[in-house]
Amino acid sequence: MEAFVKPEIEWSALAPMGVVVATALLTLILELFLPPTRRTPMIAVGLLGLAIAAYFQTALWQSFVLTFGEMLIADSLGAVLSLAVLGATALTLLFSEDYLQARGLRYGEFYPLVLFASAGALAMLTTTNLMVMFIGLEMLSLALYVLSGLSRTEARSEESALKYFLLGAFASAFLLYGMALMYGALGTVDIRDVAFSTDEASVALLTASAILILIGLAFKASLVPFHLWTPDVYQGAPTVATAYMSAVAKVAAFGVLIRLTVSVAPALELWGALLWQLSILSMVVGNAAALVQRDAKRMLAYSSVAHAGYLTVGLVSANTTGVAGMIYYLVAYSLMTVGAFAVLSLMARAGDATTVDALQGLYRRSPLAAHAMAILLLSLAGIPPTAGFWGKWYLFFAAVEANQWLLAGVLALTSVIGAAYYLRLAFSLYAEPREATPAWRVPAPVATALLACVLGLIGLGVLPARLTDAARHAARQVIVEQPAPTPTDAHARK
Amino acid sequence: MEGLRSDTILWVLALPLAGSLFHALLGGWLVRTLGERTGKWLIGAVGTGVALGAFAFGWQLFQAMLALPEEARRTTYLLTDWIRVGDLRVPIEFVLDPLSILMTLIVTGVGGLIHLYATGYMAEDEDYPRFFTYFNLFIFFMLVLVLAGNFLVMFVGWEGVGLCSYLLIGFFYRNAEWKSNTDAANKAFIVNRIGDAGYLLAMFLVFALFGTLSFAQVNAQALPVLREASLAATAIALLLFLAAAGKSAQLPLYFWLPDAMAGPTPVSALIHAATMVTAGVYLLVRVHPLLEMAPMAMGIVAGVGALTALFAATIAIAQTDLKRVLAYSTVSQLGYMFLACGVGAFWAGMFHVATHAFFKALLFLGAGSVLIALHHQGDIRAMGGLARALPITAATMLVGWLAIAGIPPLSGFWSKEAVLLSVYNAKLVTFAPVLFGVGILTAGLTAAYMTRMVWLVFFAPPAHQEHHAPVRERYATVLSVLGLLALGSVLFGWLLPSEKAFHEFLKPVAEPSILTQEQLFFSEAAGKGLVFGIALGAAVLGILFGVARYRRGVPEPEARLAGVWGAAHKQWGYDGVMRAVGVNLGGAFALVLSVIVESLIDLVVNAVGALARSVGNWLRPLQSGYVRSYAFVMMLGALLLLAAAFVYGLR
Repeated sequence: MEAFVKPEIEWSALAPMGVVVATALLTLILELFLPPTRRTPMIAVGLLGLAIAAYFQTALWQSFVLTFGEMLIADSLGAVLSLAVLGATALTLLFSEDYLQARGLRYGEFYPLVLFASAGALAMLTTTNLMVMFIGLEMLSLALYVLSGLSRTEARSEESALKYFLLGAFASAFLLYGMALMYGALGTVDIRDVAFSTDEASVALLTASAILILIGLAFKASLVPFHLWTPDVYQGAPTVATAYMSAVAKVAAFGVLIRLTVSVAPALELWGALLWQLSILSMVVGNAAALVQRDAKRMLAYSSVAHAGYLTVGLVSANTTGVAGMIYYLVAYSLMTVGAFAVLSLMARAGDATTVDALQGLYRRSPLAAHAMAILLLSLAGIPPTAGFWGKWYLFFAAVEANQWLLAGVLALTSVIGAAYYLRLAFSLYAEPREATPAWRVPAPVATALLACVLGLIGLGVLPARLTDAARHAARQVIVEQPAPTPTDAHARK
Repeated sequence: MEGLRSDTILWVLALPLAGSLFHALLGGWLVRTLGERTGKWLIGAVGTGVALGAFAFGWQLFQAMLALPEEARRTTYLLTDWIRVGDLRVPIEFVLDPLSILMTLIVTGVGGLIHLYATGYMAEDEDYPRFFTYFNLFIFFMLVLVLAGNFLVMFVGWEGVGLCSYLLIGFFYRNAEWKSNTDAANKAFIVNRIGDAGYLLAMFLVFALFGTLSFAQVNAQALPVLREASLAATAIALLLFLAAAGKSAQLPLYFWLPDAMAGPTPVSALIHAATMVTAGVYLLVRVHPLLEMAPMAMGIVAGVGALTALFAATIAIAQTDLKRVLAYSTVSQLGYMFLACGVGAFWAGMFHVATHAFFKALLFLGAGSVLIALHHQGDIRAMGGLARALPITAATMLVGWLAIAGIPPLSGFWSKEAVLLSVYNAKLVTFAPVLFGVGILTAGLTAAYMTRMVWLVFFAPPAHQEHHAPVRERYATVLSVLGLLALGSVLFGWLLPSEKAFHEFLKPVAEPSILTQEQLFFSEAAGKGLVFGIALGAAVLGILFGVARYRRGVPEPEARLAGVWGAAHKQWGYDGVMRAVGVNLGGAFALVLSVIVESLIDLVVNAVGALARSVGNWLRPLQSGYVRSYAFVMMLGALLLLAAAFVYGLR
C-alpha cells in the first residue's frame, strides 16, 4: 500500500468560488439582523464580494493551473465565463431589490440563494471532472428551483418551480446515468480522458454515456427537444429570477459543453452529428415559436432557445473561431438577456402585464427604459453596432470555416425570423400606447444596471477586439494546449 | 521612434473630442446657470482652446519631425485592434508623416482661428452650444480622417466630417421658411453618399486584392499586386476618384457645394473651403501609388479637374450671392488640385491645398464680416462702396483677392504656378497642352470674377443707400482673425519662394513612387519663366477686365441675369438636369421598382413568415403545460438521439 500523498493545492484557483460562497454565508447572517424592508447592506456586501471574486478571477486570467488532484482547472476559458457569471450576478443584485419590494417578496434568502447559485456555476466552469461539475450543477439548480418559486402566493410561480424541479431531476438522472456509464467505459469521470480512449471494446458504452450526458446538459441549456420547461418557468418565475437564470444557467451549461466537446468530438464523430440536430431544431423551433408569442417573457424564453441553437453552431464547428465566438456570444448574451428581463421587471413592478401589447408605447412611460430596451432588442436581433452582431458574425464564420454550410444558412435564415419579432417589438416601443399609463420613475440602481448592459453591448459592438482577443486566446488554450490528464490508478489498473 | 512621440497624436485627437462632449453635455446648462454672457464666453473659450491646443501639440510634432532625417519621418501609432475576424484585421492606427502633419496643422491652425472668429460671428445665436458641439466634433473627425493609418479608420473620419457637414449646413433649421437650409443639408448628404459608395467599393476591392487595408502596406505592395491586374487598378483608382469627387465637389458631383452655403459662414470657411472639401485631394495623395498603377485613370482625374476648374469659374462670374461666388471659386480651385494630382504632381496639389486653405478661409471670413454689417443680405448687386464703412474687412479681403487671383508674392501665386508648371511639363497625360490652356484660361477667369466681387462689394458706387442700421464692423474677434489670416497669407507668400522647401518636406510621401519622373514629366521645371509670365499675364488681364467692367456697378444685361448670364448663373442648367434625372426620374424609377420588387419581396417574406408562424402554431399543442407530457417529449428526444447513434454508427 502506497503512502497517501497529499496533493498540491493551489488555493488561488479556488479563491473566486470561495469568496462567493463566503459572501453568500455573510449575507445569510446579515439577513437575520435586518428588517425585511432594508436590504441595502446585504446588496452592498454581495456586490463587494462579487468585486473581490472578480478581482481574484482576473488575477487568474492567462494562468493555467490544475489543482485539487486535477479536479479544479483554472484557465482562460473558465476565467472569461466566470467573469460573465459574476457580472450577471452583480447586475441581478443591482436591479432586484426594487422589484422584490414592489411585489411584496420580502424574502431575505433571495440574495444568498443567488450567490450560492453563482458559486455552483463557477464550479461548473472550472472543472473537467464530471463529479465536481455535477455538484456545481446541482448547487446552481437547487437554488434556481427555489428562486422560481419565490413568489409563494402566486400559483404560477409555484407551478413553475415544481415543473422545473421535476423535469430538472429527470434531466439530472440522465446526466448521472451517463456519468456512471462513462466510469464504466473509462474508469474515470474526467472528460479529458475521453479524447485519449482507444479501447474499441468500450465504444458502445462511451457512446451511450456521451448521449446521456448531452441530454442532461441540453436540458440546462434549453436545447430543443429538451426545452419545454423553458417558457413555463421563465414566465412563472419572478422576473428578476428569470433574468438571473437566463444568463447564468446558459453560461454555465455552455461552458461545460465547450469542455466536453473539445474532448469528446475528436473521439466520437457522432457527437458533432447530435449537436448538429439539436442546433438546427433549436434555431428553427425557438424562432418560430417566439414569433407567435403574446407574452414578452415567453417570447424571450423562446428566443433563449433560439440563442442556444446559435451557440451550438459554435460547438458543431468545434474550431477556434467557433469556441471563441461562443465565448464572445455568451458574454454578450448575458448582458442582453439580463437587461431585457430587467426592463420587464420594471414593467411587472408597476403592476402591468408583461405582454407584448403592454410594451407598446413604453417610450411614453419611460424614455430611458424604452431606449435601453430598443438597444437590447437590436443586439438580440444581431444588428450592428451592438455586440449581438459580432457574436452572430463569429458563429456564422465558424460554421463556414468548418464547411457547415447548411448550419450557416439556417443560422442566417432563422436570424431573419428572429429580427422580425425583435424589431416589431422595438418599433412598438415608440408607438402610441394602447391605453394611457402613468410615467414611471426608474430607480437609480435599475437605471445603473440598464446603463451598464447597454453601454457594455455598444462598447463590445464598437470595439470588439479586446474581448475577441481574450476569447480567441481562451479557445486556443482549451483546444490546443489542454494538457493530457496524468494517468491515475484507474488507468494503471487496466 | 526617437524624438517623435506618437502618443502626442492622442492628445491632438482627444482635445477636440473632449471639447465637443463638453459643449454637448454642459453647454446648455452653463448658459442657463452662468448667464448667457459668461456661459457663451466659456463655451467659446473652450471650443477655441481645444482647437488651438490641438494645434500646439501638432506643432510640437511638426518641430520634432523637422529635426529628424527624411527617412525617419514616418511613424504609426497603434491604438488597439478594432476588428479581428478571420483574415480581417483592422487596428485603430494613426500615421504620422509629413503629409498628415501638414493637414493636421491646417485643420487645427486655420480651424482654431475660425473657431475664434465664430465666437464673435455666432455670438447672438441661441444655439451657441450646439454650434460648438458640432464644430469641435468636426475638427475631431477631420483629424481622424487625416491621421488615419488605414482605409477603414479614414472612413470613420470621412463619414464623420460628412455628418458634421450635414448638421452644420442645416444648422439654421428652426424657422419654417428655412426649409431650404435643411434641403441643402439633405442634398449635400445624399450627393456625398454617391462618392461614399465609391469609397466603399474601392475599399472592398483593395481588401480583396491586398488582404489588408493599411495605407503603408497597400502603397508598398501596389506594384507587385496590381502589375498583372490593370483593370482592377483602374477600377480602384476611378472609384477612389469618385469618392474624392463627392467629398471635394468635382464634376459630376460638385452641385451640393453651392447649396451648402446655407450654413453659417464660419462653417463655409472651415468645412466647405479650407478643410473637408480638400479631403478628396488628400485621399488621392495618400494612396497615390494606386493611382500611378492606372495611368488612364490619372488622365481622367486631370481632365475632370481641369474641366471642373473652368466650368465652375464660368459659373462663378455670374453669381449674385456673395458666398456663392466664393463657393464656385472653391470648386474651381479644387479642380486645380485634382489637375495637379492627375499629372502626377501630387506635392503641387497639396501645396495648393495649403495655400488655398488660408486665402479662401480669409475670403469667406471677410464675406462673413460683410454679411454681419449688412444683416445677412448677400446680394452683391445691392452692395457697393463698403470699403469706407468696413476698412479692416476691405483691407484683409484685398489680400485674399490678390492671393487667389495669383499676384506675386502672395501665396496663391506660388501654388497655382507650381500646378501650372507641372501641367506644362506633363508627359504621361498626352492632352496636357489642352489642360494647360484650360488652366491659364481659368486663371484669367478667376482673377476676373474675384475682381468683380471685390469691386462690387467695396468700390463700385453704392446701389441702395438705405440700410436699416448703420453699416459697421463688429466683434473684435472677427476682425482680429481677419488680420491674422491676412498676415498669414502675406507671410506664407513671402516664405514660399522657398516652395522648394515645401516640396522637399513632402517628398517622402507625395513623390511618385511607381512611375518615374521621366515617365511623368518631360523635364523637371522647364519653361518656368514662360509659365510664370503667361499666368501672371492672364491674372492681370482678368483683373483689368474686372475693374473696367464693374467700375460702376453691374452693367446690363448682366444685372437682370438675361441671356448668357442667366444660363451661367443657373450652372448652365446642370443642377436642373441633375434634379430632373436624380430626383424626378429617380423617384419614378424607385416607384416602379417598389411596385415590382416589393411585391415580389413581400411575397417571399410573407411566405417565410407564414411558414414560421405555422410551425410556431403547430408546435403549440406540445406546450401543454403538463409535466408528464414534457417528460414524455424529453424521453422521445433521448430516443431520437440514441436512434441517431445507430444511424450514424457508434463513432
